[in-house]
Amino acid sequence: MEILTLLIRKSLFMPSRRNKEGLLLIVLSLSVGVASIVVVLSIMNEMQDQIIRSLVSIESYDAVLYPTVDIRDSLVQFYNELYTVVDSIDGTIGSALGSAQSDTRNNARGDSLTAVAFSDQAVYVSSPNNSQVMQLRVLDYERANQDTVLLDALNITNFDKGAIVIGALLAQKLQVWYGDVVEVNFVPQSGGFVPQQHNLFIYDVFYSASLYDSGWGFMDIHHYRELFGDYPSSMNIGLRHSRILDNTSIDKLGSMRTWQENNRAFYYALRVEKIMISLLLVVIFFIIVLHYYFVQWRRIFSKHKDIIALRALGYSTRYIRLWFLLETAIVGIVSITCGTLLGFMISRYRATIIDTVGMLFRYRFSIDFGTTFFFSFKELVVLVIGIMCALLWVSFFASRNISRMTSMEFYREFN
Amino acid sequence: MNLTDNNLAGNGYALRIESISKAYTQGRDTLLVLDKLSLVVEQGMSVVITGDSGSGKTSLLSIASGLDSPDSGKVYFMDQEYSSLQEPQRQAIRASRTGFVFQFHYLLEDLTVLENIMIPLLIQKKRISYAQDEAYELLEKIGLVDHARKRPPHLSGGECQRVAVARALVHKPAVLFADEPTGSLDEKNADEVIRLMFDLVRVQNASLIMVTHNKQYATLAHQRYHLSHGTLSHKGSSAIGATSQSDTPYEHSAMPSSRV
Repeated sequence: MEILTLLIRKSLFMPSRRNKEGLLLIVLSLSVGVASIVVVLSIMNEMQDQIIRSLVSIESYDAVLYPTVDIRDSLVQFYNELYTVVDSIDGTIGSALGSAQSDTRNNARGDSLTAVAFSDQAVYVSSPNNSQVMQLRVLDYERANQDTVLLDALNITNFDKGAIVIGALLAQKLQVWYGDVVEVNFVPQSGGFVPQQHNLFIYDVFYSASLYDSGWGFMDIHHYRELFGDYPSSMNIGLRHSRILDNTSIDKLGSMRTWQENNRAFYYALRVEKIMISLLLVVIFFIIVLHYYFVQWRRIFSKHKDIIALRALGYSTRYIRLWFLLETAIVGIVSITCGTLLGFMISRYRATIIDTVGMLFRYRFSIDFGTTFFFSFKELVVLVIGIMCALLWVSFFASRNISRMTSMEFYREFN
Repeated sequence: MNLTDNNLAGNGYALRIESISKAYTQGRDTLLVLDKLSLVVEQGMSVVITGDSGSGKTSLLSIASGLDSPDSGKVYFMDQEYSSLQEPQRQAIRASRTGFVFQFHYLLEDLTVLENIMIPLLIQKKRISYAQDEAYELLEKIGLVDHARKRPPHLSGGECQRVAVARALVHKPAVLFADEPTGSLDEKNADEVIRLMFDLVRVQNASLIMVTHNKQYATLAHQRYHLSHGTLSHKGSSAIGATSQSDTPYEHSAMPSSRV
C-alpha cells in the first residue's frame, strides 16, 4: 500500500506543474457542476415553498374529511370516533369537542397530527369607516392552537375564544386593528336561517404571504354555537399529517380528499414544474458524469507511460485501477465539498448576484424569491452519495482499458 | 504455482527460450516476426541482439521478459516455465526477478528521482526506509545523488535514462532487459548509459539481454546475435563482456577490460 499512497500523494497533492493545472481544472469543473445542481435544487425547493406559502397557507391541510354523519346532532360523538382512529396512528390528538381537556402526544418523528373542524361561509363585515365581504372560517380554536403550521403561516401565536382574527389587508381596508370591534352580518346558509348581526371583538390581525388569505377571518366554533345555538350546518375536518392518508379505517367516518385532489390544477402545475426542474437536474447530473468519464479517460491515457512502466516493473493491474479509483474518491470528495459550499453561497446570495448582473446589463430582473435558504439534509445526502457513486463508477468504467490491454499493447503504442 | 527464490534458482542459465513463434495479423496479412526461435542466456552473461527495424527485436524482448506471450514455444526463466503462467504470476516474477529499461525512460514525472528508483522495492512491499537507502546507494553509483529530490522534467535525457537503469536494477534482478536503451540519446549520453548498465549488471551478477541497432555496443556483450527473418544468427562470442572491476562502476568503468 505504500506505493499506492506514494502515487496518490504525489499525483494529487504534489503534482508536477502540468498535471497540477489539469487537476485544478478537473476539481473546478466538477465543483461548478455540483454547485449548479445545488443551486437548481435550492431554487426548486424555495420556489415550491414560496408558492405554497403564498397561495395555500389556509388551505394547506394534507387532507380534508367530509363527514358522512350529521355533525350537528352528534359532533362530540363524531370527534371521539375520529380521535380514536387518529390515536391509533400514533400522532397527537386534541381533546374532544366540548371538553376542556387537552391531550398532546408526539409521535416518533416529532410531527404533530392536527384534526381541526372548520366551516367556511361568506359574511358581511362593517366598521365605522368601511364595509367588506369576508370569508369567515369557523374553527375549533382549541385544536387550531395545536396546529403550529397554521399559526406559523398566519404569523400569530394563538387563537383566543370569543374573538375573531382577521387578515391585515382586510383590517387595513376596514381601518380597524386588534382591540377594535366590528359588526358582522351573517347571511342565511339555508332556508329558515334568519340573518343575524353581531358585534365581534378583534383579538388579533394576521399577516400571511398569501393575498388569498388576507380576505379571511377566523371565529371560534364554540363562540359560534353560543351566538347561534348550534354548530354550522356544514363542517369539515382538516387533517394535517402525512400518515393519516395511509389509514384506511378513517374512511368509514367520511370521504377524504387530499390537498392534491382539492387543488388539482395547481398541484399538477407544481408537478410539471417539479418534473421539468428534475429533468434539468438529471441533465446536469449526466453532464457532470460524462464530463468526468471523458476527463478520467484522458487522464488514464495521459498516464499510459506511467502505466507501462509500472506494469513492466511488476505492479498489478488491480492496484493500478485502485490508484485511479482512490484518486477519483479524493477528487470527488474535494469537488463535491467545494461545489456544495459554492452552491450554498450562490443560493444564499443569488438575489444580490442577480441584481449585480442585472445592473451590469442595465436590466433589472424581476425574479426574487427572497433570501430564505431552503435545502434539506436528506437531499444533500442523496446528492453527495449519488454523485460520488457515479464518479466512482465512471472511473472504474474508464479504467477498464488498463486491464483489457496487455502490457505489450501499451508498450507498442509508445514505441 | 509458488514462485520462490528457491525454485527460481537456476541450473546455470537465467533464461531459456525454446522454439518460440510469434505472428501479427493486420487485416488479411499475417506477419511472422519470430519463427521457432531459441536462445539460452546463462546467469551473469550479457547478450546483445541486433537487427533491422521491424525485425522483431522488441517482440522477442517482450516475450522473453514476460510482457507478452508467444504463439507457440516455451520460455523458461531459471527453471520455471514462464510463458504459460498467468499474468499475476508473471507480474510477481517481473516485480522480483527482472528489470526493464525502455527506449524512453518512462519515469513517473510526478515522483522525484529518488522515488522513481524506489518503486520496484515498494512494489515488493519493502519498507520505505529500506527502499530509500537502496535508492540512495544506487544514486551515488550513477553519480546523480544531488538530483535525488528533483523531478524527471528537470533532468537531461541522459540523466533520466541513467535513473531508469538504476530503477531497473535497484531490486537486484536476475535478468535485465533493455530495449534500445540509447535510442533516444545522443552519442555521448548513449555511451555513458551503456557503460553504466553493463557495469551495474556485472556488479550484481545479473544477466543482460539488450536489443539495439548499434553494432558497436554489441561488442561489449558476451554473446552477440542478429535477428533477421524471425530467426537468430550467432554473430560471435566474447570472453570479455564488460568491463571494469570497480565497485563504483559508472565513475570508473572502462571498456573493454579483462573478464572471463
